[in-house]
Order: sequence, then structure tokens, then C-alpha cells
Amino acid sequence: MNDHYQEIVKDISLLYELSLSIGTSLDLKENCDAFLNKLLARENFAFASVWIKNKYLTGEHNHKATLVYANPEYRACENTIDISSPAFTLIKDKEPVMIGNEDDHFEMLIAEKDINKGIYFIFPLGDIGFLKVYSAFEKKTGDDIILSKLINVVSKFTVSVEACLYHERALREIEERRRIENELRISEKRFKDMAELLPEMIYECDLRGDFTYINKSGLQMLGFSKEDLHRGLNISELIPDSEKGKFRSRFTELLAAKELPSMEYELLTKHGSMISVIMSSTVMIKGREVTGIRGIALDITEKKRMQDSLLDAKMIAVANRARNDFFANMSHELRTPLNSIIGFSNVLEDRTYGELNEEQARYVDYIHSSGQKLLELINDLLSLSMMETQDIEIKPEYFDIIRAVVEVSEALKPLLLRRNVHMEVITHTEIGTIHADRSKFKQIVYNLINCILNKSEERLDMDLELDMVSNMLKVSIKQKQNIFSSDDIEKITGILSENNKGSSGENDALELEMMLTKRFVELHDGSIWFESCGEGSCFSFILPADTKVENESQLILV
Amino acid sequence: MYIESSSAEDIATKVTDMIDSDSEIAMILLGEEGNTDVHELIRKLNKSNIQFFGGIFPGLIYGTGVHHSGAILQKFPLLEKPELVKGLDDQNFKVPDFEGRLFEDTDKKHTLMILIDGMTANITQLLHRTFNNLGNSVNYLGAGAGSSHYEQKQCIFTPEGIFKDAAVIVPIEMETGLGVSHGLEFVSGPALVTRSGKNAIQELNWKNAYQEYKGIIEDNIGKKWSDKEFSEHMDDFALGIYCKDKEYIARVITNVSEKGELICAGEMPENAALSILRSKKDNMIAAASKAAQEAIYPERNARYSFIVECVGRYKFLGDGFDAELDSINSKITEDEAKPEGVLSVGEISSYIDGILEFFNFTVVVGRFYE
Repeated sequence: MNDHYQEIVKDISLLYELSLSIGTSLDLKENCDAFLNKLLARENFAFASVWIKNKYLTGEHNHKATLVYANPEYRACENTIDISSPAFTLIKDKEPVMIGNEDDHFEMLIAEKDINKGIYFIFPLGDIGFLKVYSAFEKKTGDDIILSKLINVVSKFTVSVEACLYHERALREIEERRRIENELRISEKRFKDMAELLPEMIYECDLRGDFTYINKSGLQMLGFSKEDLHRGLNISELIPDSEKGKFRSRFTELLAAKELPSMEYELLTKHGSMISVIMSSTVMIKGREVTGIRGIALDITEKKRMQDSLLDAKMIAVANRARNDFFANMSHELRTPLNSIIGFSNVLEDRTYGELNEEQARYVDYIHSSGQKLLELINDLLSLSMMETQDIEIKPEYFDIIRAVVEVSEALKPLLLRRNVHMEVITHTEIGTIHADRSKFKQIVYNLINCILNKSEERLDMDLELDMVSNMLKVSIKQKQNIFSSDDIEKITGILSENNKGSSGENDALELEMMLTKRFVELHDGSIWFESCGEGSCFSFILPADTKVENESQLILV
Repeated sequence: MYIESSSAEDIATKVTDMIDSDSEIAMILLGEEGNTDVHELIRKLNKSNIQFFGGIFPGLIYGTGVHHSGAILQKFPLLEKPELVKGLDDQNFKVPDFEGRLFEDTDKKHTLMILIDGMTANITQLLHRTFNNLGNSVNYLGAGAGSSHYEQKQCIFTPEGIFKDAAVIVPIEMETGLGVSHGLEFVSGPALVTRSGKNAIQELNWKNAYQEYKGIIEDNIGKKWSDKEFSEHMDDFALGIYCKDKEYIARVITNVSEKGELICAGEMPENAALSILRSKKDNMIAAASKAAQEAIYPERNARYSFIVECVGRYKFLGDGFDAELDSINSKITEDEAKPEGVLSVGEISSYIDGILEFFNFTVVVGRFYE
């Protein structure tokens, strides 16, 4: 074979190798590497680079191009050039050019290290950029044949670069889609996690009404399990027949309006019980299609029950107030004539207007004592009424304890004498003053003594003991006869126990007195108790010697 | 310098005496037949805290003589820490990233000395990736270590140990003049590598590689050979890869597998269009002389010349190899020291302003200038 044909065979071999090295990878760098490594090695070039316009590379329309490949990378200096730079203007006619170091443009084309002579070959890559190849050898005649020899293979290379760019764009888009999907998944999980934590029911259902999601609270509210949901649960299963019409029309309205204000419904639970809910719903839209409904349901069953209870309580309060008003009025209406009866019977007893015979005196005494009892009963009723409405006010003051006890004793003296009761006041320690409501204190003592007197017609020996223990005043009223029946003991013990909080409804005079007494003691932060030991009994109460009152208003119990 | 002794102790002593400062590194080239205890040598040198690198080669060149045992010892001013690249049989090997002083002195083109396991895979990959990082900022000179029988063995050593599938890359603070040539002649072509894997050509022109190769050569010389006869003549031929304005890049066939694959020294890419090259003694000797001439920097005295001769050339030239060495020596008479070198399993060099290549059946002459 002569030299001429040998050269042709060499060229064909070169083009064969170069052609088959194109498109070996969809990775831009690998694709460039396979082709340009071979081109550099076979054609003895010293450097090759590929520049792509940014609008094809990143989508940026900034009139710049980026270096996407350099071989060897060591030589590359600049990474970005303007698309108005000489390399682009020289190939504006889409034809490759050869620029030797003696050419005017050579200097302007240098964007690499250690280049001051040689030849640049610039091949346009369609419209997307260019391939720049550098030979370190001086330009000689016939070198321009390289342009013609390589133009077709570079054209194929251009297509492969475009394919790589499309591939990279597709990968970027896939990556971006994956990123968005991942973010969506994270976001959805975040919202589902939050939905699972919410105390309200969150739900989603398709247009057939089949639930696609119900949160934990929703399932609990309805009594269903996740398994029930997975098996398939339709919203119609939750709607009682009475609500179905209303629900159906709301469903239709919602699909038309996309969103509706909240509305109250009755729903059926799995176990058949009814719950009241307020539901707010909106439509789910995918693309332009309505795909279902999602919403929130608030269980208001308990709230409604409480509202009903509150209504009942209000009615009870109104009734109580009416009763108390009645008591107050009746007390006044009763006490006025009763005071007249007691007063005039007293006048008759005193024989102010003449002597009475024995029978008259006995009847007047009945009238007087019965009137007196009735007055006490009315007073107790009034106090109890006030107590139940919690409207009792204590007015603390410093007062002498002995004196207050003596005053009670003086008030009871006629009765004590008549009943032949001997009462002795005993002090175990020095008894001084106490900061308490003087009137209430006296009434406590009075009621306890009176309670004993009312239970016995016999002669009694009674001790009223006063003692100061750890800044607490202890008052004990003891008697040594067996005057209380077991019923009385049980009743008194029951009333004075710490657990007893008020009236049970029907009360006799003893109970009313005990309840009132206990309340007065408690208002002073004290305590009261009753002891019975076969022979005799004892009422005791303790009060703080110095009642702590920070401000007057706190004394009014609310 | 060349020492006849292959004893680890003698070599270590000479190396220790040779090295004057911490900024120098010792190059130790061992002849494969000396069976030097390399582990012991490494241990001794490490104990003396000497920086060194080396390889085991089919032969050593000292002046005009070839030795198969003993050691060539040379020292170089070290520019940067040498880098050992291991695991070259795996494509994911790590390429050293040289920085700093290699690029500081732009007036001077330093030298990267590369010793590599000549029978490993991915040699071209390593050279390509190294060249990609450093380009023509340095000159490259190197040799493939290994056995004259093309058996892969541990043949590269550094203070870290002795390895196969490895390379050591040493930045040297000296300039180099390089000459590369083989003198093989075009016989026939192209033959297309239609199927290959790493170093093995499985198909040539879509046919069994061995059968096709043998057929092409037989057609060319006009003779039919038995397989045995052909094996005796295989060293006369090589494969050539076209490179414009330069000699073909030669690839020798080191072996033929049972399946008829042609095993080459160096990767053989698929779709390569190969030429069949033939050796002629006179041309080869002339080529060696040409390589030595190319390596000369006019009006500068080299300190030292380093010759990398393919072991295939040595085998082919036989007695004529002395003439090849004479022709090289005759070109570099003014050197301060006798030329030294190796019989190699592959030769490494860069062209001036061209790319870094791995050659076979080639002679590379490197002349070191201060």
C-alpha cells in the first residue's frame, strides 16, 4: 500500500475510533472524556475543552457559557466566558476555525495556562457551545484539513453532548421531583403526626363517602379501630336516619361551594351510642377535580351535657332563692306576731295585769314556751337558709372569752333554774381574749347548751370547761347523765363529722341547730366534735385564738 | 551507582552512605535474580530514617552493561513527599493530589518519577488522571517493574512495605530532558479491537484475537506457522496505536490465554484501530540513539542519565542489545556519571507539550539537569 492510501487508512481508522468513542455514556464528563481523550492521544493535541451556553446548561439566560470539560484540567483557568467573547464570535457562522499564534485573535482566545504559541481549533457544537482544541505545534500548511476531517465526527459529538444535557436536565428534574416528593412526604407526615395528636377528629373521605383517613382521636370518638378503617368505613354508617337528609343536602352544598361553615350533627358510634359533633369540612382537589372531603369534627357531647346540667343548676338556684325569699318573708311575717305572742304571754306571766289561776298560768306558760321554741326554730331556719346560700358573714373582734360565756350563761339562767340545771364554768389555764365573731361564738355555746337542755327534763350537772392549748381555745360542755338516745348520738355524730357538708333535705330542730353550730365553728377555721361514753356526753370545739383575717372581704364566704 | 551485591545489608549500608540530607531521597532498583530480602532492606532503611523508593526489575543497566542482580542506587533532591498508590487492580484507586512546590517555581519544569507494577491493570488510567491534575507542568519519567517472564509479583517498595498492583510517584527537584522511541516498523493494519477487557484483547476484527493476529502476520510474511513456531516469532512483532506525527505507541503481547486472548502489557481499549509492527534490529538501535539525542538539552550538562529499556527489546535484540546501549552511551558522553537504568515491563514518559503515555517495546532516555 502506498503512503497516500496508508494515510487514508490512518484517517479512516482515526475516525472509526473517534466515532465509536462518542456517546459511550450519558454522563457529560464521561462522554467528553471518552471522545476527547482519544482525540488528544491520536492527534497529539495538548488540550481540549468544552464550553456550553448557560441557557442550555442551567437554564439561565445570562449570556454566559461555562466550561464543562477540560483535559488536562490542570491547564484550565477560566470557568465562565461571555457569549460575546471571541471564541463565540469566530464561530458565529457555525463553521469551525483554526487560529494559529500568528493570527490576531490567538491572544484573545487564550483562557488556559502555559499557552503562548501553537494552534487553537474551535468547533461549534450546534448552538449550544463549542469545542476548543489546542495543539502545541506551530501552524503549518495543510493543518486546516483537520477541520474538514473532524467536522462530521464533532457534529456527532454535538448530538451526544445534547443528549447528555437532556439527560442531566432529566436527572435534575427527577431529583427535583424526588426532593419535592420527599418534602411533601415529610410535610404530610408532619401534618399527619400533628393530626394524630389533636384531640379533635380529623378525617378524609372520597366522593363515595368512604373514609380514607381518620385520626386516632376520631377513631376513639367513634369507637372504631384502624382495622375497621382498613376494612372500609363509609360516612353513612355514622349518620343516624334522622340526620341523613340534612347530611345529604350539606354534602351536595359542600361540593358546590367547596367550603361551608361549621354545623352540628348527631353521629352514631360503633357501639350504637349517639355523640354530638360540630363538623367543618372542605373539599379535596387534585388538579381541577374534586376528589373528596376532609374536615374536622369536634365532640361536643360532654359540653352539651354540661350545658344541660348548668341549666338545671340555674333552675335549682332560682328555686333556692325563691325558697330563701320565702323563708325570709315568712320569718318576718311569723316573727312579728310571734313576738307579740311571746311578749304578751310574758306580760301575763308577770301578772302585770292581774293574777292568773293555776290553769291559766299553766296555759300561759305553754303559750310562752311554745312561742319561744317556735321563734328559735324560725331563727334556725333563717340561719340555715342563709347558710345554704352561703351568705353568712363573720365579723371578728377581740373580746373577753369568760365574759362572753357568762353572758350566755346569764341569758340561759331562767331556763337553767327552771330545769334545775347546775352549770359550772371551769378554766384550766388563764383565759384571755379571742379574735372571733363574738355573736357567733356566743351562739355556738348557747346552741350546744340548749341542745343538752332540750333533751332532758331531769336535773343536770353541767361543766363548761375552757382551756387554751397551743394558741387554740378549747371549749367543752360536759354532762354526766345518759340523755341522748342512740339515734340522737348517731345523728349528732353524723352532722358534726368532717364529711358532712350540709343539709340532707328534711331536718328537725336538733339537726338544724347542730348544722348551724358546726358551720359557725368552721367559719372560724375551728372544729367541733361530740363524744358519748355510756354515762354522759361532751360537746367540744376548738377555735384559733387569733383568727387570721387578711381582709374583710374574705370573711364573706363565696 | 551500581553495586553487585544483592544483600540487604550491603545495599542498606551503601544507601545510608549515599544520602547526605533529609531533603534527598534514595532510588533503589533491584535485579530480579538477586533475590534481595526486600523486607529486611526496608527494615534497615527505616531504622536509619532514610527516605527511599524502589522496584524490582528484569534487569539493571549500568553504562553499557546489563545485570540481573545487584542494585542501582541513585539519590535525588526531593521536591515533595512521595506518594504510594495501592490497589490499582480496582478502578476506584486514589490518585495523589500534588500541590504546593510542584507549581511554585514556574521557570523550572520538575520531574515526576513513577515506578509502577508493570503487570497491574489501570496503568493508563493512573497516568491519565495524574496528567489531568498536573498537565505539562512537570515532565514524567518512569518504568514498569516486574519479572522478565511477565509474572505479577510484589515489585514496588517504599518505607511502607513491598507491594504489587501499586505505584510510587516521586516529585524530584530536577529538570529532565526526555527521548522516546522504539524503531518498530508498520507491517499491516488496521486491525480493530472489537472486544477487549483491561489488558486482554478477546477479538480482533470480530474474530478470535490470536487466530486473527497470527493470520495477519502469516499473510504479511507469506508463511504458515504452527502455534509453536509462531510463539517463537511473537517477540518480533508488536501492536501499534496510531499517534499523529509520532511513532506508534507500541504494545507487546506478553501472553496468549487458552481462549486465544492476547494479553498485553498495558490496557487495550475496545474499538482501537491497531497496526501490526515489526522489529528490525538496526532500526531499533537507531531509535535508541534518536531517543538519547532527543533527551539532550543543548548547551547544558546533565548530572545523570536514566535509561528505561523494554525487556522485550532486550530479549529481541539479544547480543545486539550491547550495540543499542553503545548507541545511547555515545550520545551522552559528557555526563558526570555513567548512565543507569532498567529493563522494564512498560515504559513511562511524557512527550514535550503532549500527553503522558505508557509504552511497550520502547526505550526512554531521561537526562537529569540541576
